[in-house]
Amino acid sequence: MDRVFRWTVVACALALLPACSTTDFAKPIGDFAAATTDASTAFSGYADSLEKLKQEKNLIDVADKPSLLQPVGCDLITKPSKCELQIAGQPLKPKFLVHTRQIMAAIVTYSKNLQAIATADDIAKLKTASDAIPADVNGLAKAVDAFSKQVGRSTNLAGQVAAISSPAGEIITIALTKIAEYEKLQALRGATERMNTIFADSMALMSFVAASNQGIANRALSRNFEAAKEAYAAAVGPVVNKLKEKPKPGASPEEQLAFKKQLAPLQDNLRVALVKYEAAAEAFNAGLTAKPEAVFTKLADLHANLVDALEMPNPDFQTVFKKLQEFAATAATLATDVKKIDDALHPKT
Amino acid sequence: MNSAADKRASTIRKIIATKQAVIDGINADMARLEKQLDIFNDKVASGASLTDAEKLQKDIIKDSLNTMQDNADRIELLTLDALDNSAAVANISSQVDQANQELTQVKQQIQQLTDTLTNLGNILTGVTNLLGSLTGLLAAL
Repeated sequence: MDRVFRWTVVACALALLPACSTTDFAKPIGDFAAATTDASTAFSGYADSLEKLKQEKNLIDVADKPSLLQPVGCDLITKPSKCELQIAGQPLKPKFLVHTRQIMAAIVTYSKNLQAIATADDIAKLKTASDAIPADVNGLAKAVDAFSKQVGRSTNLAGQVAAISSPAGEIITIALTKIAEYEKLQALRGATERMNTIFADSMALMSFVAASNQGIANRALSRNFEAAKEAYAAAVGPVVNKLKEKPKPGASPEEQLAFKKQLAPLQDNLRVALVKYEAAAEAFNAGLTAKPEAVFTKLADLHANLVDALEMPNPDFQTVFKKLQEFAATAATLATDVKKIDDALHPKT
Repeated sequence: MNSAADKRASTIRKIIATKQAVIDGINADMARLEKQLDIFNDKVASGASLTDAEKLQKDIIKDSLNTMQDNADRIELLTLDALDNSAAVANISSQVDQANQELTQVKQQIQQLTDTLTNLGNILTGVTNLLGSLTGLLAAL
């Protein structure tokens, strides 16, 4: 019996403790998990693109020096376990950035683990447990009173239970919920703090992959730009030469008309070349000003803010929310830049 | 930051800085060659024709630019490959894995806590029933 009342007292005490509610930290952690998934999608795009490039380089190398290519296994007589085309001991179709991809996947798992802890749906279970308690406490008190009476003792536990101003079940529900939330918050604090330095290093790695991919794309965009510039210069020359033949004022209308007919197609060519030149310049500009690494540096920043917020006695997530908004804006800008660059490098025919 | 974290971050920074210095050098050389190409482009745009020697020189410059770009791309790929297989990355990977294992344990602990709290209700119900039965028994005696 003491245990029941001790528990009720503990419940009352816990109910008075200041603590954040589940919704306080579940939202930023859920948004953080979503941001991590966005970053992971961006990273996969860069890693896949680099993997394709490595394969293209392998094909070029084989074209330059066919003896580099060797089939490994592929001979039934030797009972091989695999058959693979290799170039200099490596698969012709490479698996590129295997370990870095694993880290990105593990970071996604980490954010999902945090989310699972923050949003652990145990409140319903706690309510079910506590809903059973008020009747039990009253029933228990009445049973003990009856038992006491049988053995010649006088107790009034039923009266004491009824004297608790709030319904006992409600107090216990609050108490159980707070215990669970306190445990969750403690777990989240420990996990995020421990991950903080690793997280920054991981994001530095992802940033490097993104920046390397952009460096390669920029050189391709530069070459596109140079080709467009050359084509434009080649289209300008004939127009300039034709303009030198412009009829003098007072020339016959026939002569002027003939000149215009000869000039028009040359100017049409120039316009077409100019449109391509402008598009190439815009794409190159998008490549030069793009900051693909920003998604990862911002995610690291976001994680650091999450750690700071969770460390506070009463977590304040205002900064985290603000950073989350910045992250969303950066991801949107990146998506626009990536489309421009992709359109320039892979024009639709 | 502990020494392992310092070493890990330092390794990553060194690899990145070394690669960037090489790439910056190649980009600077490419920019110089592109300026030479501009001279030929300007000449063509002014309506003049290139001599055979100039055409050959232009082709050589374009070929050099292609080679430089290819070299730069390969350096990017080699650096990424080296970093991906470095001890720094292995270290990050194992620590992230370890953190995830700990989080899984925490999830289990929270589940246990929930189960324990749920059991409290069941225990109370059991005790009530037991005492109820006992009271009934005593009343019957």
